[in-house]
Formats: sequence, C-alpha cells, structure tokens
Amino acid sequence: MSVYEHNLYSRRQALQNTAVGFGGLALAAMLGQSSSAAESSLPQAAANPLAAKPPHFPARAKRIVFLFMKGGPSHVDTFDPKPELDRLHGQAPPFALPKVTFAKQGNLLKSPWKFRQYGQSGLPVSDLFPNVARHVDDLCILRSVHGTNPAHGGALLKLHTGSDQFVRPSLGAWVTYGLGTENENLPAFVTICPTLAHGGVNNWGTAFLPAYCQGTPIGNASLPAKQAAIKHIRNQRISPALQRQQLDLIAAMNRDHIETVGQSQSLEGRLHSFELAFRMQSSMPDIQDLSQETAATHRSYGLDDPVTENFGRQCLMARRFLEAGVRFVQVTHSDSDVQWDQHGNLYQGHTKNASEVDKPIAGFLEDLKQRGLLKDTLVLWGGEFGRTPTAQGNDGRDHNPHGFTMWMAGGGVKSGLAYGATDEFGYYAVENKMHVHDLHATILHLLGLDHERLTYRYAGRDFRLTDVAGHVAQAILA
Amino acid sequence: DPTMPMRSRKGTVVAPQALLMMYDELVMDSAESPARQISDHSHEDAQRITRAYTLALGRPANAHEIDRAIEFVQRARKSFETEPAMHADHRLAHRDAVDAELAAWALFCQSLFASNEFIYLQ
Repeated sequence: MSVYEHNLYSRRQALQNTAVGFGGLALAAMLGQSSSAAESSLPQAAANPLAAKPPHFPARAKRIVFLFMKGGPSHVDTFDPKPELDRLHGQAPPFALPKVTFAKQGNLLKSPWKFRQYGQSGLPVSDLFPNVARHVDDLCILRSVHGTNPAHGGALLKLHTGSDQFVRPSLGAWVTYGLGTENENLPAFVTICPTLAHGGVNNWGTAFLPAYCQGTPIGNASLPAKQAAIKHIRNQRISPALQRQQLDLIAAMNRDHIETVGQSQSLEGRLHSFELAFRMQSSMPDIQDLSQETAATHRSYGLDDPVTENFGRQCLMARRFLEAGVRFVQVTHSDSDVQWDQHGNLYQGHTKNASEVDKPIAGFLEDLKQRGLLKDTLVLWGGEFGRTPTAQGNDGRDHNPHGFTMWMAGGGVKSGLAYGATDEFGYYAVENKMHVHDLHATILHLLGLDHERLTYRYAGRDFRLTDVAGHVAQAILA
Repeated sequence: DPTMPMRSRKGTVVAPQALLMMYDELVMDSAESPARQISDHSHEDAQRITRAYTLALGRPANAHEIDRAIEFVQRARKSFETEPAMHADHRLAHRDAVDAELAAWALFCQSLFASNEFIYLQ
C-alpha cells in the first residue's frame, strides 16, 4: 500500500480548510446567488441552454445567413452605379476627403463595368453579377451602409461584433443568446470556412456571453470547402458503439457527481455539451454530405465548375444547415490571397472574385425560394466596407467605410428595393444612412428581437450588440 | 472566450471541448500511462478501479462505481479483442490480447479524466 491510501486528503478538503475557510464558502454562496439572479431571465437555462427561446415579438425571419465577402467589394462597381463618376473620370475629387484614409487617394476612377437594369424593379446591377441580377426583384439593396473602420481588422470586428475597440460578443452569439436553436443535434451558430485573420475567432466569439453562444467553425478560409469539418468530429479510433458506451459511462459518473455536490449550471452544461458532441458526430457529416443532393442542384450551385465549386459547396452546406434548424450560418468568401481587397488590379481581381460567387449565390437564392425557405430566412450579403471612387495607384480602389452597399433578401424585408444613397460619386453615405449599429438593430428586429432589450449584465451594466446606438430601418420592413 | 475575464465558470463549456476530451490523440494516448500504472498495481479488476479513482479523484471507488466500471472495461476489452477493425485508427488495435486489455483500461482512465469530478474543483 502506498502513502496515498494512508494519507488521503483531497484537494477539495485542503482548499476548504485553509485560510479561505468560511470566507471562501460565503464567497461561493454570493457568486451562486448573483449568478442565479442574472440567469433567471433565461428560461430553461438549467436544461439545454441552447433550447429554442421565443423572440420578443413575432419574428419575420426565423434564421439568418450571412454571405460575407471578405476584403471589401466595391459598391460603385457592383450595385451602386455612379454616372457622375464616369463623367469626371481622371479628375481630382471635387469634394473633401475624410481626415483619415487607409492610403493616399488619387483621382476619380470610373467603373470598368457596365450596369444594366433587371427585373420588374429595374434595379441596376453591374456585369460582375449577371446571375444574382436575375434575382434583383428579391433583393433589398442597402446603399448607405457606413461606419465600420478604415482597416480590415477593425472593420471586420465592427461588422461582426459591433465594436472595433473592445472584445464584444459576435452578432451570431447575440442571436444564439436570444433565440437558441431548433435542432438539438446541431450547434446554433455555424460559420463555414471563416477567415482566421482580422479578428479571427472574435468574429464568431461570445466575449462575456455564455460560451454555448459561440459559433462553431467548419474548416477555415485556407482550406478547401471539401475538407472543411469540425475538429475531432470523425473518430476512427473507437467504434460508434463503444463511443456510446464511453459517453454513457461519463454521463453516469457526472450525474452521480451532480447528486453529491449539488446542481450547477456548469456541471450540467458540460453534460449537455457531451451529448451534443456525440449527436454532432452523426448529424454534422450527414449535413455536409452533399452527395444526397440531385445533380441538378449541384449544377445550380456551380459544383460542376472548378471556378465556382468551392464557394458553391459552402452555399449548399449552408442551405442544409439552415434547413436543419441552425439559427445563424455564416459563409465566408475568402482565400489566402487578397480576396475582394483590390488596391490594385481592380478589373482582374473583382472579375475573378465575382465569377467565383455569382452563380452559387443565385443558385442558393433560387434553392431557398423553391423550398419555401426564403420567406423566413434573412439573407445578408456584403463585406466589411466598400471601395473608394478615387483611384489607388493606376487601377485600384482603397478601403471605403464611409458609404458602401450590402443587400438583404427574404426574411421580412421589402424586395426589389434600393434603400439609402451615397453621394454622386459613391464616397459618402448621404441619404437614409445606415450605420453598422442600425444594420444590427434592423437584423435583430427582423429576427423578432428588440436590440434594446436583448442585453446581458456584465461588469456592472447591461451590454447590448448595438452599444448605445442603433435605429431599426423601418422603411425596409415588408 | 479566453480574452474576456468572467466572474463565473457558468456556461463556459461547449461541444467542441467534449469532442476533444474524448477523441483527441494526445488525450487518448496520455491515458495509457495510468492504465499501465493500475495494471502493474494489481491483477484484480476491482483493485485496479479503486487505484484509478484514487489517482484521479483522490478517493476510492464505491461498490456501485466498481461494478459499473468492471462492466465497461469488460465490454471495451471484448470489443478491442474481437473487432479490431472497428477501431481502425487506435494505436493498439490489430495487435494482441494484451494490448486489447491495455486499450480497455486506457479508455476507462480517459473517461475518468473527462468526467466533471476530475475537472471541476468544488
């Protein structure tokens, strides 16, 4: 017999009996009290924390998908035509530039692309997006978005979390916090092939919100979509039957433990996380298995063409996740190169980027429509900023967070509409301006959440996604 | 979120953590060492189990826990012995009965490491 058996004295006993003693117990009790007060506003938190929760008021959209174009697509070359820009091409900008710009601004640079009018709405779309253009009557084009940040890092963080200065929960985390998920076998918030740069995990993180609100990344932007999977989701080391038995053993140990030490959200939360992990092992590969889709669907998303295959795969996975009840899905168009960030080489760069996403996005919209999903799915498209109508170098455009375009479709927004406007050159948002906070407030509203009521108490005050700002853009609500 | 101080551990657990605790290579392999330790300690299942509990949790296993663990180890041992192909990537698969034995005990030890009592101090 070793010295262990004779002198058994657990760590727990040691901690409890040392100087901390009664003080420690009192502190634990206080923490227990204050935390249960905070959590009392969360129904069913002791059960499955991810269980679906009702919105504040009837929602127009039950789920949301964000098609994120990393690097900043130029709005004056895609969805915001500027005849004045064409007319005054080559001249110095006849307006005041912002005090802070990312780089030196040159003269006005007209768009190399022609804009055409489409659909019944007659909304103009450039030749970069001929396939998406066919769906223009489904789109609500927001031309006056502004307020992210002149640099990618700050801009991504501001767009994804509402702050470019502090670590804050992501939009997806807030949505998960407010609404939970409809499918207990899947995470509530999934981000497909996200970029690890410019904010990285913070763009799908939870900051001070409970950890279960965080996004689950599937692969990342440097991996082909075909290889994208959750880490450890496939385990070939022990058979599924034995895995189940191991899980049952761990669960039994944990249940006995809870009975001994008393109820605790973290202990029960862990029980749930193991259960979810086990279920995800079968549900995730199933959703990612695109072979179950028809050949026609594959073609519609561009899976038969090497140019569109990667992004098409991501979009098709996204549709399957949405269908299965995932609340927030992000799809990121990015790669290890400069993505949409054409400081130079605007023509070749944007042509390449658009050719990779145009058909898949159109196929995705069509698919959502055909399945009856579009009407209660909010689709959001855009990047972290737009680009300057002034040139950078000979053939590029610089970052422009002062006025740019994003578009929405489905989920309760008016369709065939262009909302807001930039000035005649496309530099600044001037009419019906939509700050990032306003965008967030509107998104939450469409999901049935009041951005001023969706709060979390941390560090002594109630935080919200929109900080102390944000107005819902009522005019775009259907 | 590791960048944010939180006042409590509430809600800090997520499914990917669970996946890692159960299936990560490092976690699985590191359970081999205690498995060897308890195997060296005794030839009897019950004693091995008590030893594992003492090492991991600082207390002996009770009768119920011993029975439960014996059942698990027997099933695991049988599975490793009779159907090694189902555990294709396991380091100890496709070898002999001795390794099936060790693999079963390692899986049991790993389960102890994954349990709340091991991880959480109350």
